[in-house]
Amino acid sequence: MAKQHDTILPRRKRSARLTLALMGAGAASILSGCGNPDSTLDAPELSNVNFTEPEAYRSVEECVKDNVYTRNACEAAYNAAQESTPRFASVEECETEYGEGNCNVTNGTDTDNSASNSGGGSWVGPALMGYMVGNMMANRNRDGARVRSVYHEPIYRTRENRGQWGAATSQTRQEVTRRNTAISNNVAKANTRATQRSGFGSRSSARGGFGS
Amino acid sequence: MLRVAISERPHWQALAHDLGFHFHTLEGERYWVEDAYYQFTLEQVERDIEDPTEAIHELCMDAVDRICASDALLRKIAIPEFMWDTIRQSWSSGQPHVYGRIDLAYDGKNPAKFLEYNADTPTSVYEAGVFSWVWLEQCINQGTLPRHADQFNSIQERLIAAFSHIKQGLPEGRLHFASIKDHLEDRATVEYLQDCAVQAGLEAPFVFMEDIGYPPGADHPRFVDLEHRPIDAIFKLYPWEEMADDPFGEFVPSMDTLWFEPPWKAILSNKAILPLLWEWHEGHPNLLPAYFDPSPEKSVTKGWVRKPFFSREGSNISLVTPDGAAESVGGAYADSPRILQQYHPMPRFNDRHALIGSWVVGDRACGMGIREDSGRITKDTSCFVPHAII
Repeated sequence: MAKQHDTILPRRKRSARLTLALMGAGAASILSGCGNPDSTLDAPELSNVNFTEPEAYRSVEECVKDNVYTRNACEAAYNAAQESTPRFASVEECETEYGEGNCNVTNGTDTDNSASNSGGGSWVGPALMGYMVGNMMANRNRDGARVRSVYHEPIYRTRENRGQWGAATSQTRQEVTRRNTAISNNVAKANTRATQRSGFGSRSSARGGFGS
Repeated sequence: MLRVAISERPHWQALAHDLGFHFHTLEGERYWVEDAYYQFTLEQVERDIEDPTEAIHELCMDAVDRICASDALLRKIAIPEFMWDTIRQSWSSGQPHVYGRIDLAYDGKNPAKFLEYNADTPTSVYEAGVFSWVWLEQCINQGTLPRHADQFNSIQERLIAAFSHIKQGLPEGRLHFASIKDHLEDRATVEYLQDCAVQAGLEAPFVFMEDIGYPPGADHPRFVDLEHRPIDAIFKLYPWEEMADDPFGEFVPSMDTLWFEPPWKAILSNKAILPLLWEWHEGHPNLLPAYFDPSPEKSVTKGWVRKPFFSREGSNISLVTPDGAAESVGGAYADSPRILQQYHPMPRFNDRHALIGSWVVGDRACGMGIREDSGRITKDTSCFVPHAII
């Protein structure tokens, strides 16, 4: 069965980036496989790991031909790049800023999202020298709240015959926790000496690890 | 599905060290192997691995529901009676699980066959989730793999999402992590899961299983860590059946400490689900015929594999191929009841048998790892080999 791939993001089965917060010599390392690491993240990059830079494409066709991104991803990135270029009232005005021969007239009606372009018709702007699909991956903030990800759907299914973890559970547990904190603060102090240990894992040497 | 030779990255051992992957070589033998990789097509991954994995996971979740509802079934799969309420409560309250690994025999053409679900204490998640990912990116960068090469791997992204979800049910925002002492691989796996939990915004302190304290006498007690801090919730890389047998096992049902993987995972990591799944879904393309072993003292019949209900890393498994070749691995699980599963050959590449470990995080299939072994039974000494979708 063919999957419904995200229409905007590249056709890929792997995450765009990885971060390690605790492990290894380079704890807080950001490994990025697509696009530059988000500049708002100030954790140091692993110096000895270099990944593919996002490719600059001059046209949608060139992007598609590269066989890394879907056509949708290529077109969306192209349109986004077009939209972000400055607009001028005339070729002359544009050339004053960008130099002779570096501006062109773009017909806004030949792109799918022409409705969202200002005016919807033609405009004058600097010629797009290249655009990056990878930049689209950088729309992430530090706490991940608005991360635009290939995998943005919830990872747990709702099951009719089971309760809902989360809000309801949290409330009950909050009560339990409050009660317990009060109790155990006293108990823990009183029973520090009585606390028993080695009650789990005592036979583990016979089995040599439990991972499977 | 091909096994393709590729040059190793220069200095990958130093990189492994920098990334906290210290068990790439075990007792002088290579565990991480990168002079070859397994090549898949996108169709093979999606049609033959990803979709069947989610389908098998759903059959398993349905099995948990059925087994929880039946005293007879809980007894049949040898779950001690004092754990029943805890298991049922964890299931009916919707306590989420973190992850699991479904082991599949797949040859690139025929439907993948479900061998077992490592649902309680799976390892090799770091190798599959992190080190393989870095390998692929670097191979692309170094030009040994084409730019369009990809990998079935959003494991870490999903793990962080799972821990974020679990965090919603933990008002203190703290999840302890535990594994047993003197076991590097288990400790490293837990360290990696702690890493993901921290990235999900949890506080993630570590305590060895042996150091977990039981404070007697409180009305609503929780186990405590070495600093006498109460453990509200804890992820343990330690099997439920061992916990149930341990001296503190009997305290688990009366304590308020919340355990991950949740108690209901004791049902799925139990190989007794294999004959039950076959009984309920006989003929399913991804299932192998399986039965409860009526006479475990007799030798195994040709074409069958005998597995204990509870075992780890291939221990106490014995098999006889249809041509009569016998193979078995000893171990410490001889006391467990057994099941019989039809022998299904794993594909061989360079005289090595390849087993696919398909990762499930939450309810989603999200990645895979391939382990190779010279024998037909994959053990803890098998090698881990990366994969690429090309």
